[in-house]
Amino acid sequence: MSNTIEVQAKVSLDTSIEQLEPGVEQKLANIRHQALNQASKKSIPSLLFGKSMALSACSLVVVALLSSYLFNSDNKITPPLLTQHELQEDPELLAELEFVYWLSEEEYEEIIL
Amino acid sequence: MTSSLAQFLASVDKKAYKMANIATLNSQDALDIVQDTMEKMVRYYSNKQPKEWPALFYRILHNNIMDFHRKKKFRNLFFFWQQNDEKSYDDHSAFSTAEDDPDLLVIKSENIDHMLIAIESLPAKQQQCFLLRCWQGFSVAKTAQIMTCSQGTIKTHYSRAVVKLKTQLENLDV
Repeated sequence: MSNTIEVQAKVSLDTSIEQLEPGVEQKLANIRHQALNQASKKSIPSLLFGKSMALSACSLVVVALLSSYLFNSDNKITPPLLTQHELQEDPELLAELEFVYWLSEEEYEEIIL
Repeated sequence: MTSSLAQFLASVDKKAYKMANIATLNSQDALDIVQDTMEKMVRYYSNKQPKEWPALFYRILHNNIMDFHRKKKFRNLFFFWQQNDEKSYDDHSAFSTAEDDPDLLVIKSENIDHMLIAIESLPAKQQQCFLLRCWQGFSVAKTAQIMTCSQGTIKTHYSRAVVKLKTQLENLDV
């Protein structure tokens, strides 16, 4: 019985593809033609997908680097460095600091004497 | 290579369409599945040996059909109120359109093959297994490779499909 069913199914299916709806064969031929012609060129969505993925990966790396730099306490700009940097740029401040230093030395000498 | 691939695609396109049509019950969905299958075949596997093409082609087709069922299940789960609108059994639309014309209904129903209806009503995996084994003539091992499951599962799907077909045909004959 099962063999009969298999034979019957095969016949029905073979007959059905000979009696496809009108226009389907033409559509299948177009699909075949399109599939064979798209082999050489990549589709626009796939190109955009690749570029957008690369861009997202780059932005993620940048964010990771920035966050690790900003939130890591070792990399913070310390006050001495800031002072040094400001001193190099402002000679008046340097002179003022030298004066304060001289004054403190003078006071120290007075106390000793 | 391209001409032999074109010949291969021409030799399988109708069968692939019919398989997709039986699985989706919709001509446009079936054409979309065949188009996607052919594009993937040409893009990724055109450099393979021609003897490997049939198994690869039907594996892509099977995956696309299973994807269609998954998407449909998901759509029905979240958009359940649209289920009735989306049913488009265009192959057998005679039953819905011929209500006003009993003669047309009789003529069309005589033309509908009971065997095809029985195959269409099989569960997706049993249907795919039956079509690949019985119609495409793949061995158990090749069918297992195409459907990415064990040979034992293929044998189970196939025997269950045959039993269901037998029962359904007996019911339809009555």
